[in-house]
Amino acid sequence: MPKKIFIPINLNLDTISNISLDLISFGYCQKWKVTVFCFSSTSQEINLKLQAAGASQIICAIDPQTAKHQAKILKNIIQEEKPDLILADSNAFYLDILARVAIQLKIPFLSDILNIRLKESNKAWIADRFLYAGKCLASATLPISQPGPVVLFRPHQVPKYKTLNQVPAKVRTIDSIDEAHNYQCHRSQVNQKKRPDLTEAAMIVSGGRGLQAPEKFKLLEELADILGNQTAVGASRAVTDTGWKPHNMQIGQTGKTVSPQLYIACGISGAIQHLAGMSSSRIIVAINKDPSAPIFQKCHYGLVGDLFKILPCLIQELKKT
Amino acid sequence: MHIFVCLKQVPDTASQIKLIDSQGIDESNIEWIINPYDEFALEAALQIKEAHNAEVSVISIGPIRVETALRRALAMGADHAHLIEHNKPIDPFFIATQLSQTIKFIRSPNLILMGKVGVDENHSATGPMLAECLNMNHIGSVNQAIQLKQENNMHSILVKRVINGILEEIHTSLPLLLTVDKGIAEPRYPSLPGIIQAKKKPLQKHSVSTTETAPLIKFHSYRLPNKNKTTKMLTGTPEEQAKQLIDALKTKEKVL
Repeated sequence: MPKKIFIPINLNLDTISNISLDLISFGYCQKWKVTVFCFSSTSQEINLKLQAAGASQIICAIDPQTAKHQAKILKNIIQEEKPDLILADSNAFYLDILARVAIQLKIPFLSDILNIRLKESNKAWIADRFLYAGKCLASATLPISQPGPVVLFRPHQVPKYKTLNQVPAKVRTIDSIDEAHNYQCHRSQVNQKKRPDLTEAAMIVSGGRGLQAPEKFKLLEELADILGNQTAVGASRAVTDTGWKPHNMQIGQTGKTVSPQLYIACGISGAIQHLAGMSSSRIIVAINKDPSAPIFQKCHYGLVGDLFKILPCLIQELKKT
Repeated sequence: MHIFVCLKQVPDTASQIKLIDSQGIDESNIEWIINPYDEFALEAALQIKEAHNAEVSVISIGPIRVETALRRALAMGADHAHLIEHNKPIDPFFIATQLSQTIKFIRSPNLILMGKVGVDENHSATGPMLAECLNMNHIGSVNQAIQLKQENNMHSILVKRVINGILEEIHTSLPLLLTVDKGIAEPRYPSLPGIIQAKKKPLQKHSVSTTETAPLIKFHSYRLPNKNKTTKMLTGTPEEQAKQLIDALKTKEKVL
């Protein structure tokens, strides 16, 4: 019997995130039967994309707004579907809801995993993850059950597969149960600039105290613009604590833990709590005027020098191509 | 108005993590602190206390060393402290179950605040799980100041959070659990009178309720991340350094 996998996804302005599609393709390529769940109705176009990625069933429900009610709906569906594994990405939305579902169903819950595999005996799942914001790694063994454990992938850790499933997916809509009272939520867009979230960015340019003043971040913005729309701008704790930049830009153990393909640290000395938040990046570049800065112990490419001279040269060099 | 703040004691973010074989971390040289996100929650609770005459209780679970964290919370201004004494490994499932039983036993609060994540094991699960155990709604990752409103003896709350670039302004009723993110409030330092008073404030100990629960997640095979990174230092003028770097990123690393 193929394993049954349940993947809750989030549509943002009617688009599916790449991470959601990667999760579905990952499940499909393991020859698992994939059910996708969504708290909104899905258009024909979305259904076809989900199917092509590998979904064999799509379940939609009306969003009851509150975490408590969302968890109740999901719990009922999961109890009915009895999947062997519930798979999501570690975004705040499903993290919050699935934690509630897991304790109700008394099934293991593990966020931020790097990978998941069946043990050779097929009697348990094994997942690896970081602890202490990247200072150490450990594994967890999760027993097989139905419904099975809830695991959430760390962004950028979902293996990428190309799939083209031709078998039409079954679409099912769940009638809503009771809805929340006394809950009004007003939503508005705050991101004027179209930069990805730090945890999802493919590349990050990040600045520390070495930038000397908040307006100097313009230089990082310029570099990020040239690197493309998958690039985000981050900051060290020293920068957010002094109020140069908002807290949501902080990278480190008390900020965001990131793992982009390319991380460029500018004027960041590399306090242990910062290193913990970015050391799993694939390629780390450090630019700092102090050759003894700890960041140089953790980077792949080190550039000792004045960042106000080096950054413009980098921008020039990138403009050439 | 009664607020519970849940705290976890965690290794200082500045500490080096050393391992004992593959069994776990070596705790002998670790400096323990209140989980920074829980400290933001405590500060937010203390600000509500000052504005609305609320009562703040703090609660934690763990070995006796956790008393230090609770004393610090009392010194910052919390009124009561509760410690569920437990010496074995814990996970969010176990913590949430134990906290919910003890909180119900003490007195159900109007509001529960805690950090969105513990900086030790980074599960981000205990808050939502506790809310589920108490059959309460919860709002996660609140990162802006909380406003409490009172009308005809009924409390309601206005919370704001930014999630994936979208600002949510939520007006809802109590009881409620909030997990908080950085940005909600800057924690105060305990004052000297606060530290002295804290010694006299009540710190009640509870034992673990033995019914049904054991942790569902146990980590094993602890190891340190690979340190096989070889640093290549690029030399020359800024122009030369820039050229070498971009060439390497393009041709060797293929990230551009």
